[in-house]
Amino acid sequence: MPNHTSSTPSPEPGSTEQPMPRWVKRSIIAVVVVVLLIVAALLIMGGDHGPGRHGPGNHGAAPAAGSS
Amino acid sequence: MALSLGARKLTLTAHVVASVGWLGAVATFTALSVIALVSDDLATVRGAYLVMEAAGWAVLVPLSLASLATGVIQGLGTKWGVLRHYWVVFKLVINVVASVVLILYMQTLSALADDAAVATEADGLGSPSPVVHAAGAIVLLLVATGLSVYKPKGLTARGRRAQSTGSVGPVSL
Repeated sequence: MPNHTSSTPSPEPGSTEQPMPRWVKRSIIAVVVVVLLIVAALLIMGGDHGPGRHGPGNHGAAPAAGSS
Repeated sequence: MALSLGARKLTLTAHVVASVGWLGAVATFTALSVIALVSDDLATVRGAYLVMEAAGWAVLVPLSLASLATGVIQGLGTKWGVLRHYWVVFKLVINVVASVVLILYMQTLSALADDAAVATEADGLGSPSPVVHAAGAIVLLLVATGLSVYKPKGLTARGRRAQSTGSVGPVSL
């Protein structure tokens, strides 16, 4: 019975079961860590993310015509 | 659907031009976003954000979509496939994520440009957000470029099935 959980890099000849390459596993872990860090940063900032925070009038914008 | 040698070279050239052009355009964006962030001159900040918005729609978005389209065509038209090699899958994910984030982020760039167009002072007008997003895009696109050059080995399950039928790359151009 073939051991599918083996970390042996070279599978049996003719077998379609191959372990996921190490660089792929490391990359996935790195991506997950980065995504979690980004989510944590967004939560810490209070979720203030997106175009909504760049409303006109927030940076010394000229008053709209007709307004007092 | 196998592309002819001429078609493969043409689409590969288009893919390299679009992808590297996208990276160069993002590098320019990064510089503009830093200038807008640190400058105290209203005309400079306003000009930077107005140029970034216009160039975003005219250059960044088209290049990102061209890179995605030519990459998919390359994958479908050669033995590399789209989902057979991990490095191709990674590049596809990077391209899709970067393109979607870019298109969504254009709303923020438009808001910054609208804000800059009517601002009467540069104080507080600069935003670190474009710097962060552009820097992130550079990292992603550099990774994608590296994957294209090094092509690290590794077949997906789909690739292993295709390998058993003898239809897996690499393809010589």
